[in-house]
Amino acid sequence: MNDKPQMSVFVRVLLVLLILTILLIAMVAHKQRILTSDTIVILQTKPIDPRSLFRGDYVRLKYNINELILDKLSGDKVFHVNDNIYVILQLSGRFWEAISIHKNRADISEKLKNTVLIQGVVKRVKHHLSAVTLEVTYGIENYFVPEGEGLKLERPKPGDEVTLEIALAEDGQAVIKALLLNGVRQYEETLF
Amino acid sequence: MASMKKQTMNHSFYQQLQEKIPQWKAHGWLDEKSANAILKDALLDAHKRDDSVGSTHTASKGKSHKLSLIISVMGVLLLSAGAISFLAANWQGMSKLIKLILLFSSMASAYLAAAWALSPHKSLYHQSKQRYPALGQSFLLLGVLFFGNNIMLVAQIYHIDSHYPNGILLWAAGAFITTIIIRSEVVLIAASLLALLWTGMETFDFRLIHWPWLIFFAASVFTVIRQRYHLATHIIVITLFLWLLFNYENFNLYVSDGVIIQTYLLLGITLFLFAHTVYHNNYFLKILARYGFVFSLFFLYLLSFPDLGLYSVGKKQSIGTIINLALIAGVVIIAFVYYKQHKQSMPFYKWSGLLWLLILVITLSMSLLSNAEVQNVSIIIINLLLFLLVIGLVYSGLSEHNIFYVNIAFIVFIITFLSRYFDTFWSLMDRSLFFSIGGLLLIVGGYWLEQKRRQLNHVFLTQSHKSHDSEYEEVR
Repeated sequence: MNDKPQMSVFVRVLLVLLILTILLIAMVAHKQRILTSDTIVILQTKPIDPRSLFRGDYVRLKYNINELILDKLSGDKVFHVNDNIYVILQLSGRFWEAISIHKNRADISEKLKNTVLIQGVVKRVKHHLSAVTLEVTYGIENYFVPEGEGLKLERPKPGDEVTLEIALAEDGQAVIKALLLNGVRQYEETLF
Repeated sequence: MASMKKQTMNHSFYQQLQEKIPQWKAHGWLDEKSANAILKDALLDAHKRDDSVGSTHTASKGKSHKLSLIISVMGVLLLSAGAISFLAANWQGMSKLIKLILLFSSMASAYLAAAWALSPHKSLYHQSKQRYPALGQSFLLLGVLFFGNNIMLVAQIYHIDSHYPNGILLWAAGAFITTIIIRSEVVLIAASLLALLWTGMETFDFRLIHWPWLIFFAASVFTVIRQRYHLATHIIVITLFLWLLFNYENFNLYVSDGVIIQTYLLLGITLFLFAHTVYHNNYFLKILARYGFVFSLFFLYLLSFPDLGLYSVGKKQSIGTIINLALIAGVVIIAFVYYKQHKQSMPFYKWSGLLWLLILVITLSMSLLSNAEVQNVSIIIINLLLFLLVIGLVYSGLSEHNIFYVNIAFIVFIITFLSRYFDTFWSLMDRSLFFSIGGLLLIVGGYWLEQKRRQLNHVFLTQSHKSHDSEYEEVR
């Protein structure tokens, strides 16, 4: 058994390096693929201010669609924490707003005009009087910015407006394409 | 057996032979040709062991190797902390491309340094040996740490904000790929700890019974058995029991505390029995049996408390009852297989052990299926069984010359004795008297038990030396 020819250590190490590099590139490629999508929506935000100790400065973004009041939306009505959900957004004025919410993608029978699909996860189910509100995340709630530059986005001056361009894949996965302050692009996603 | 002995030959054995063979030749026991053939064979075996990358588990590595490995690992941790701090301090001024080049090149450098340190080289005394095995293992670990760092920083550069435990999963997978391809015990341990962190995040932050971790566990078990790593075996077996404990709260959403505790008790017994039944000098099974035994003892001890309400019948118990009855059936089947295998040569204490087990499973079945009135009887039986177990463990430890069982018996005895003392006398006695008598009992009892334990340990050691000497005499 020991006589079996073995790969040299260098070849094995190179193989490992190749696999690990592919895994890291796959992370980026997945993101970049969504960025090339033609489906772009603009979402209005309400920035908040916690900072990570480990990941440098970042803006935590809160969107209008992070809080969904079930009574005001069509679709399913019973949800639990950690449920994967699909939210249908429709253009309302300048921004996209939620109009219905579903547990299964198959339940969304027909696509309405000027609507798109976004995937999210239920983080909390809040019951207040008779109203049920879902706290939902979409994977677009954090945006890293150079140290010290996050403040103007986290605490915009009165009258300032922070909006985001979100690219959506066909299955509803969302990524941030650009961050805008008063309609002017502050940060835009590029490969290099 | 011959092949096992051959595999455990190492450099120290070769060096002993180098010293002894001239004496044997002088006595006329060996001729020149045989002496050379023996030395050549021993040298070849020692080199084969060395060429197996990352085989830190054998005695061949010795204490000096372990020390150099520990120092190298500490050096690697400091180096990685320094490198990460440097990146963090200069991060803002770099373009994306420079950041990526830095990240990928640091990871590649660590892995290539590992390849250099682990590659064979020819020297005057050795035909083919790794240059610096301990340093090589440390560089591999550094490579894995850089890979984790790269996952976090690439996620930051590209604003990837998905389900965050997936980052740890990717890191654990990368470490596991490294240990599969390059074979490293240190990296396998790192992969297991990362997988534990991953399952911990999924379990505590997302309130899921995290079954996917079991796939990772199975792959780790396969690797650890194949590579015969000893330290990694302990870590991997411990992670299994930690995973069960992590998921307690999530299981509790479906079944009551009492049912889960009985499930854990039965699982520990099942693993212990299974490992003993299929045990054939397999180190992993030996360790699984030990930890499974300790795990089940803890939950048996919990079931001995009358006031914890662990026997109450609730609505949630239907699924749990079915699972526990299935586990009881499993325990009975494995015990029967064990009995069939060993009935010809089974000593008295093993018969008693099987009888003890039968009473335990009947008691647990009774508590699962019967009404609340029977529960008091169950608690009394469990306490009696715990007491009998202590006696049985001391007896089997003495019979098998196994100090592990004796130590466990002493620990269980002390803890159970103290628990019952608190249960019984807390409300009956004056507080000062309660603490004084308790303290006195602890000091006297502790001294006496420690004396007894040391005596037994001494007896075992003496017997072990005697049997070693007699083997040596037989060989001579």
